[in-house]
Amino acid sequence: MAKRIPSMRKHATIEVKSNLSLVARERGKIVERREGHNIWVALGSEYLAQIIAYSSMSPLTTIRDDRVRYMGVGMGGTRQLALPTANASPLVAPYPGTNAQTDTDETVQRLERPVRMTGGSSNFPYSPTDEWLAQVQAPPTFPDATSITFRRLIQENEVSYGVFDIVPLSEVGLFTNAANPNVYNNTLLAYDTFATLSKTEKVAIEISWTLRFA
Amino acid sequence: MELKLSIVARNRANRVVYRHDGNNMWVNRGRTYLRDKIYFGSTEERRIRYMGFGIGGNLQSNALAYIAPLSTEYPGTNNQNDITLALDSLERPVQITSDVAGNVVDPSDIWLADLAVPTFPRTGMVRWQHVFTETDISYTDGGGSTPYLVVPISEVGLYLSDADPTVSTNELVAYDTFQPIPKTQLFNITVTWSVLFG
Repeated sequence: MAKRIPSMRKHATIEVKSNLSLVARERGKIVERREGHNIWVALGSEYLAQIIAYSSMSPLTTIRDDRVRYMGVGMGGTRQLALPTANASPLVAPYPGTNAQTDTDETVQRLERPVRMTGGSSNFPYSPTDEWLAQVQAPPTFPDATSITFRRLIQENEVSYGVFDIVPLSEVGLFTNAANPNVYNNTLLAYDTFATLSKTEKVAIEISWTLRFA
Repeated sequence: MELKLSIVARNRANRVVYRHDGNNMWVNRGRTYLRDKIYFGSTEERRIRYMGFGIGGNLQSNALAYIAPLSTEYPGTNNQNDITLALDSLERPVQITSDVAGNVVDPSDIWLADLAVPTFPRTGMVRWQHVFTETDISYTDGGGSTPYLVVPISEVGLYLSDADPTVSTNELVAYDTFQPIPKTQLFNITVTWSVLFG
């Protein structure tokens, strides 16, 4: 009969703990702030499992090499508080969709109602020159040995431009460089929906996203 | 992220003679590795590639670990636990194979085993495996003798691709110490190391 070796336990898990901060400033003065935890979705977990592994040991072959490079924002998610604005002209036609996604659902794959950073105001299928994702600041910062912070300042003239005077933002996603900034429906690694922050051409929003392997 | 470790020893009749099932510890070095792995512009290109055993760790309870030849060939303390995230290496690593018996540095020394191509049993899970054969660790040297008839292994580590299998001093990313399994030429050992993110 096999001898079963008992085990004592300890650090049986590593969590990808996430903290998200969004700060809206008007002429440098903070006008609104959102802080909370977001979710590392199933696609993010799949990403981590693949990024540390080889698909072949001889020759050494990687499965994927993409890294976190972009953030994107949208009007979707269950915490959208300005549905009358989000579901009216000029936003509803170019940025349609439901507001059903939560930031507790690991199966979320995309922003629900992504919005352009810059570009035109056309409806789907959109213009190939539209920019839907923004590069995070490079290099990132490292609050400690096991944490990393990605930042992006959404400028006054991003998101809210042209006919889009007010864009009620309520969701944000984190993307790798495998995403194509010129298409609207990229898959994400991490997601958050938050109480609406109204983006206007007078407001800049700083997004700070910290991940900790704890 | 769930960290599962299974160590199963089977004799020549394929019967399980020892089994350790538990978790393992992703040490600080491993957590920093994950941090550095994910950002665009990172130069961190390493992946998980090797595994190694030792007779260190504070769960070592086999008297053979404390007398010659093991005490002289694989010296060291048995202080390490699998709670302290700050540890860097196996405490008393053992050779897997060598042409030269004993604690003599030789180009044929192999301290780390190449892992098989990992599998992905479910979304977010990666699983590495290696089978240590009957003559691994309790190996037969180039002279045909078996210097280590019984090696009570009690710690195991997981290593990145820049580790050097021919030296004993590699730094690990994950670690476990367990009640000793007295490795002999009568059985092989299959180690299955699973990491579940999410």
